[in-house]
Amino acid sequence: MNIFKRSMVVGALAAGLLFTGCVDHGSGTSTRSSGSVALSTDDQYLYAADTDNGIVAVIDTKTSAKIAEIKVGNSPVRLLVGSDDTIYVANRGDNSVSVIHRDTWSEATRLQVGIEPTGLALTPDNKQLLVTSSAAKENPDFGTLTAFDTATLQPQFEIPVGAEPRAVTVVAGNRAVVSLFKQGELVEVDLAKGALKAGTGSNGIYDLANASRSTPSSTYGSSFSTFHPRAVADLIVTPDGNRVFAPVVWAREDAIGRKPSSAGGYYSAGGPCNVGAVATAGIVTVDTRTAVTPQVDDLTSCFSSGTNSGADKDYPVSTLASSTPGGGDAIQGPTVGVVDPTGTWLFVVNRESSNVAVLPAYRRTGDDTTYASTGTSVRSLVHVGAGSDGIALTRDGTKAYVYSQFDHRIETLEASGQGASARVVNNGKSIEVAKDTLSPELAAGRRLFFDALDTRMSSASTNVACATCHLEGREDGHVWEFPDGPRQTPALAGRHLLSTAPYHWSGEFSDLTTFNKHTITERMGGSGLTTAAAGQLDKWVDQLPVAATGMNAASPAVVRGKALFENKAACATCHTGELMTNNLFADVGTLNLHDKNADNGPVARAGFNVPSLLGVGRSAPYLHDGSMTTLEERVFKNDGDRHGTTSGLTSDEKLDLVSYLKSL
Amino acid sequence: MPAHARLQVFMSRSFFAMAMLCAAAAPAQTTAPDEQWSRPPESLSTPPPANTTPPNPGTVPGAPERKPMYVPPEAQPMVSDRPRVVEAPNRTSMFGAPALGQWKRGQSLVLGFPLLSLRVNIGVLDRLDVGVGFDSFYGAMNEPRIQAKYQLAGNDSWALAASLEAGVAFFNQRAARENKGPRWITGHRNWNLAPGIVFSFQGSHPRAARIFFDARYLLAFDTEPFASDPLNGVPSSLVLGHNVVLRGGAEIPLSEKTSFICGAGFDVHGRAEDSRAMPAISLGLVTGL
Repeated sequence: MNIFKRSMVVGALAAGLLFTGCVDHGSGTSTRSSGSVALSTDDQYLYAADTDNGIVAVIDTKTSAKIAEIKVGNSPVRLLVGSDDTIYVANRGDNSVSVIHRDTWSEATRLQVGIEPTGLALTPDNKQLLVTSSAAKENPDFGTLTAFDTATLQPQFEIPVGAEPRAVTVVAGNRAVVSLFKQGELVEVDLAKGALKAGTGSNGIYDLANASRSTPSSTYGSSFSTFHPRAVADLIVTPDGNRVFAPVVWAREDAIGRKPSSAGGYYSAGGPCNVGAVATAGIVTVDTRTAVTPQVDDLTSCFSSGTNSGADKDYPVSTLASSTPGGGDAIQGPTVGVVDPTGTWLFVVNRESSNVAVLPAYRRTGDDTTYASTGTSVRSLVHVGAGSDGIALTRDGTKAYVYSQFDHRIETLEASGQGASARVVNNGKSIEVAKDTLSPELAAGRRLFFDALDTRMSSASTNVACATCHLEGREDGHVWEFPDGPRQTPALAGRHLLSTAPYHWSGEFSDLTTFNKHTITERMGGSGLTTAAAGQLDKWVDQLPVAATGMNAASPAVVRGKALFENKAACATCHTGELMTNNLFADVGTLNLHDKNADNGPVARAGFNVPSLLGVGRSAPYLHDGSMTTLEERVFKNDGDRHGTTSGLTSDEKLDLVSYLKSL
Repeated sequence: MPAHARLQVFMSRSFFAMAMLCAAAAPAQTTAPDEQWSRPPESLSTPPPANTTPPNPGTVPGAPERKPMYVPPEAQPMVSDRPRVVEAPNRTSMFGAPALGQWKRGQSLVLGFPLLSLRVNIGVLDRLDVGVGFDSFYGAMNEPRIQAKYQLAGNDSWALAASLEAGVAFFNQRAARENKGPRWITGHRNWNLAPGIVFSFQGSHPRAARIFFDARYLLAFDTEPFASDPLNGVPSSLVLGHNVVLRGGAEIPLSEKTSFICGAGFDVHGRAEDSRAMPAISLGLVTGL
């Protein structure tokens, strides 16, 4: 064979290799649904989990009629349908997962998992069910990921995955990604080994979002405002399993100024890239092909331009904002989302703004977006009902169903128009799933708490809800640099608001009337509530259940810790009674009167308002400035016995004391 | 400036520049003296092939006295009186219709818009060429190809051929990400099949340009269709694109085996997501060396 023929053979072989050169990286599990609503594999049935009623409703999609109602565990929050049409329901209120088989319309069995299960995922082969629980059964410091064999429904492994895990999804390469709700981090799990991937720790979302800050110490008051991702409620995976989107709330870390109510209040503006308020909706893109690799705009570098840089980036803008010229509707409280079956469009359900944002999943520019002029790539924003926390897409990609939990109704979204001007619209034909179980007063209070668009609560230029920071009535783990000093968001749930005046860490509000007036009008920029409406809001907050911990109150360590709490450690001197507060003030050695953003005002004279300790085990970090990240740290670091008398305790006694605190 | 605007400027500039180059290059081949005219043709001094069977002396009359095939220049009174040497015509065509001939090879490298193209063909039969190639939208789309050309008819001055090209394209951006990218410009998709007809003609002069016209139907197989608008439905897993590719140009011989190629044309795209029509221009070399 001469050289010419040989070269032809080599060329042909090279071409052949190129033809077959695609490497299969495996796949993830892309579901067409997320949150409280899902479709059967053939789209014949639509399932909706109603949290208040503890049911799953079955809707015939052809007739829009409710054909069955399945009683499941308490507070079902998330549904998942397997490829064999088995329905899994995470019952957050009683630490279980219901298993339902299609057409039987009854609960086949109930799997026991950790505390407050929220996340569900199936592997692509439908053989393994993954469940995240917010806390381990005997330790609220971390949550768990539990794997079940779907054939036997027996647990395969259960591993700790960090504090307050929320969503889980399976990505390419037989791996899972878990979101840590408050910390704004992601955890990668090797499913074959049933273990965290080596080296899993901070995956850099924060660093990428704040890349331009010069040094940590220069952030406060400098031109570089920094933002922390919070409230990672969902993980939305693309059909190829190579990309995940994580809805977040960007919480400002820099100073919050006193702005008059007429200008939107303290919380107005100050968002990343001049988008939104001090707490702003966002979306983090994560490349999962080889490792969890976030793709995030540098939110600290765009204040001069007002927009995120990088029109050529192949991922959505990291802040979520309306593309409507002139402002339009706000986006707040991104909760769940899906990617359409072609991997082209990302749908994000925003609970606090009661809308669904539709945006391209792999670009931010184009004839159909206004990125160049508005800095956002949201193409459509469509209104839905109150408390929306679930979305499901049909197989043919023509409909999206959204469940509005507070309205107990399913709404249907469809396309309108063609080409670049096509939009997604609500067809207005909602389906009632269940009736309200809350009293009208509580139901109204809940709506107020979660509503960022109600101008009584928040100005049109601020658009924050109580729930934007008090996530689900609890807290976001964030420390805000308020004008009177740093203040960690206090948990509200389980702390009996009506019985724990005065209010705020400073305790400057002796009653709820003055507290509401200040917070709603001065901070959130709202026009204010009537007495009746404020009463509804306060009453709803007051009845919120405490965050469960699963600790056994009768365990010897807890019993010993309780005795120490009440006697030797003298904690009960201030944290006393059923509500674990004397509603007075104390200086526990955390006052900062000199450094950056020093504490000022009433606290400088009287100390801080003693908070209730109910649910303290799941409300890290601790103290007014969040300076203690764990209860162990809080108890073991108590120089001078300024905060309880712990110097006389042995290490074992201190651990007993911590166990008791975690059980509250 | 948006990417598509930059691309349009690039296209218009490229088209203009290549048109100028093409116009400048073609006349040079017809007016400039070829240096080979001043050299003795090597073919005349080449002895007969060794395997040429001599006439059978028993049956064939004695060979006439053989005249020397080559007279040394010094024997010529004047160069201008020398008989004009007949050059071997250039028959190495990659873009025209003539086949290369059995076991003859040709290759081409073409720079142009929208594609950079590298091809190698070999004649497996007198009338059938097959080969491999590589087209690239300058990195944004890379497409290994196989091709075949069968000369249906023709003689030394004209030829008609049927051709077939097939390729698999690798795009460095997913379809949903592209905004007036290589898919929009070329109409190509993941798999592409292009049957066509090529007609060419060439003047009698050995260095006459070979003018060609190439008409193809480009069937593009899209294996990653996407929903261009949200909730407007999921396209089927395979979407076909029907396109027409028209090219004309010339292979302008530089020597017996090497030509300069200059071409232009346009594509007509059948998919609404693509550009309706897109001009094309190309410059390059074809050689049988």
